[in-house]
Amino acid sequence: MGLLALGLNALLVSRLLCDGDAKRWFLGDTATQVALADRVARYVLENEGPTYYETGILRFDGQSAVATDQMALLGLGQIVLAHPELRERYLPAMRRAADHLADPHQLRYAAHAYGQSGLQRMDPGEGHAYLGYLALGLGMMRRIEPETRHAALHDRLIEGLASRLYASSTGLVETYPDERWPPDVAAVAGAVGLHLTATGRPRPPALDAWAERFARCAVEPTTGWLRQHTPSCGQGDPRGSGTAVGAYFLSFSHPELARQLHQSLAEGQRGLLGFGGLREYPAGFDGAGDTNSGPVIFGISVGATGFGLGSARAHGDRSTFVRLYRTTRLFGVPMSRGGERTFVVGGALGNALLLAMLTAETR
Amino acid sequence: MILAKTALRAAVCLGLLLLQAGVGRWLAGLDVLDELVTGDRLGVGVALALLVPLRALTWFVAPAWLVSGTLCDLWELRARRSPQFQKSG
Repeated sequence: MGLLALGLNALLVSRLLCDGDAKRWFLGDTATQVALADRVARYVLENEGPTYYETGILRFDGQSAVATDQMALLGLGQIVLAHPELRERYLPAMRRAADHLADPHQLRYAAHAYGQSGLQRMDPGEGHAYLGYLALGLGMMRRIEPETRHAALHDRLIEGLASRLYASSTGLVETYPDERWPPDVAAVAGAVGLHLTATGRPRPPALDAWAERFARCAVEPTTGWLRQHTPSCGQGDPRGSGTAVGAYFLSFSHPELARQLHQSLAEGQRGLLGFGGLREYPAGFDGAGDTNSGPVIFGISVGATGFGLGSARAHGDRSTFVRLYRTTRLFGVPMSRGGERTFVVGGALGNALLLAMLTAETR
Repeated sequence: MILAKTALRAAVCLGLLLLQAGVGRWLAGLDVLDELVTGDRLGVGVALALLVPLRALTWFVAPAWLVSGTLCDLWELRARRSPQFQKSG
């Protein structure tokens, strides 16, 4: 009797406690989105300095700040696009996040790598693909506020990044000296696509030609997953977290390639009693978790599962979205407080990431 | 007797639920990552370590224990009141 009750309970609990919320997120319910968006907006507005965390590790502090501001901009912007009446509510936080991204202090880690930040200048031969994250955030800012004071910087970044994409014979661009990360390059391509949408400029044929070269070098052919780190064309292991975030970023520029990545990733999902998760390493590959994937538990990665929500929503994959959301709700521990909602274990970074993923525009 | 046992089980479940909600609400007022990096590492670490098992208990174990325990009690009572039980007793 006890075992039967435990089994029935486990089968029912995921559906009873999670599915209503999952449905509201998937369908874009305004009240559900606003409750989390208000908390994320407050995180951004309350942060005076350019960084959110002060670990003393320059690269982590800078990258986490860029990710928080970029994802806050994407999440808030996606909500405003779906509910234009909320524009004035979120513009102050979006402007503050864009100001943070345009602040060279946030990129001290990159200046350390190249000798100067790409915000100041990108010399020939330097990749600076980390700027794709900034350019995506500024692109969403510009889509919501075309007259943003960062428009000229946005144009300059995109011009420099797009020329590097188009000139690369492998489709890859260095993030830092001798470091090539395909998910970062996907962010660069997504930023170029979002810039075209925000400015209404025509799509250059070179952007589609780039996708063919990129897929040849950065997509692992047996799994269809994106390689995480590529020393050179066709090398490097595929990873779930990079594939999921890459599928989300590429949905801004190359919806077909993004869909292929999402489908390959979703085929490898694991589930137990209705709770779903995405693996960090596909069958035949093995490794540990890192700062990109977060903890990897029984092969399931926190990063891949979180980013997978965005990829699933962007591609209208409701069943994957619901299964991943059940797991996110169980371990993310959403709590309501003063009309706001926050995923307790996420902090500013995790909540901004989840806001962007849970509100990803369906293509 | 059954009522008392059910009330006890319900009180334990409610206690777990309230404890989980209390820990969650306290953490919700903080930036957990920031606290783990530069703030109250021990307090937040212990709260986080408690929160997930508490949540698993309240989601997966408590409802099943409450319902199946009560059903078992009722079953036992019914068996005790049946003529066969009386005869063998």
